[in-house]
Amino acid sequence: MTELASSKMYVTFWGTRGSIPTPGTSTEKYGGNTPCICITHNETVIILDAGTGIRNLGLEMVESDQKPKQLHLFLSHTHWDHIQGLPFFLPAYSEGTHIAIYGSSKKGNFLAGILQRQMDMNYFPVEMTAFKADITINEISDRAIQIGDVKVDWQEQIRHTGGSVRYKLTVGDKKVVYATDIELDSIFTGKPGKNDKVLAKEYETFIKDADLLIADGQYTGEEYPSKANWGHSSIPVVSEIAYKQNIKQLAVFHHDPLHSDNMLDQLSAAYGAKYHSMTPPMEIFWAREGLTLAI
Amino acid sequence: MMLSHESVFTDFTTANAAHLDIFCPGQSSYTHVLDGEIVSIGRSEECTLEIPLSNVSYEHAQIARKKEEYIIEDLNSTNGTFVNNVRVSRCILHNHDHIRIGAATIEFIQNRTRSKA
Ligand SMILES: [Zn+2]
Ligand SMILES: [Zn+2]
Repeated sequence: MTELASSKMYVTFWGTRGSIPTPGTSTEKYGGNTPCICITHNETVIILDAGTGIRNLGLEMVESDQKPKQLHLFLSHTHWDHIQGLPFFLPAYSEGTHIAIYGSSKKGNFLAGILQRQMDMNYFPVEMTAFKADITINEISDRAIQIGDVKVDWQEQIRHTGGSVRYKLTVGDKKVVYATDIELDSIFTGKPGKNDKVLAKEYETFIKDADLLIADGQYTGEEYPSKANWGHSSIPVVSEIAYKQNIKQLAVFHHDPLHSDNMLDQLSAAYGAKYHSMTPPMEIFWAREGLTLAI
Repeated sequence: MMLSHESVFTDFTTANAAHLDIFCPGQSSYTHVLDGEIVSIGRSEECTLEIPLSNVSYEHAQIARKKEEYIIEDLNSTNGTFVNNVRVSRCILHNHDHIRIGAATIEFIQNRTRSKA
């Protein structure tokens, strides 16, 4: 491993809420912005999703002394909560910045068209042509994408309406997996359907031994039955799968808009105590805005 | 009587008063008021909060204010800085966050007040 490759990945949560932004005093600790995560490794900057959290990331980037010039944005899918911040991402309006956007090619509509239509004048005052940055939109097709020292693997997730993509970032022996907007309960619980065993195996192989798994855990076990087929996972199911696959740290993500800070604190306390006391232990926590981990 | 716009909007200001409650083995607990100055934490005598414990780095972490927020940053310490049991590189602090550095714990307390300027 080169010395560059041995340095750490820094993972910062800019938006952790699912579905819709939830401003207000009861959500200020875990945050109300929708999904956006920034992962840096030396000069390499990779952004996962462009929910409303990307607005604050953009503000920090333009205020920084060392403005990053080359950004890579990977979209899990194009549901609103994962792209709605893009028109407010200041570096996109800055000449001299390069932004490479990546997403699934299985949309039926081309990714570029979907992003452009979000900025149609009926929805937003300026069109995407106002972006002064050099933007390329890439529908991923190669198995893995190499960006600097970071290898990005991806896999389609079909158990979410319209589908989504999970990503794995690897540097040396460190792995970070981002797998949101997937209904694991429909794959892993109940009577397995024809396809479920294949999907389960794919998921397990993809996440296995990750140093950090950022995973959809929108519902409690009690809530899930009334939300079945809504495309999201329950916390007991995702945490059990993660534990079996030897995940070191599990960041529960895509918090339900109805879940207050108090409720997420209580869940953190219960699940944290449970998995910390197991042998070997797994660290589990609820992702919150403004938190940076070194992996 | 209608209140003037001046008295409604400018006589009062919103402020964030914050302090740390420090619990360090071998010391009696004490409070450090955050006034905007950077607070350094570590084993060094030079640090604002000196924590003379063996598993604490010389310059372990620091807390700085950015706009209205207090942010803790780990300074590449050997044994890590934990916020609510999560090992962090950097973290925006919220009321009643528990910071753990070696065997010491520090509670962050923030009071948002709106008072007469
Ligand atoms: Zn979503
Ligand atoms: Zn979705």
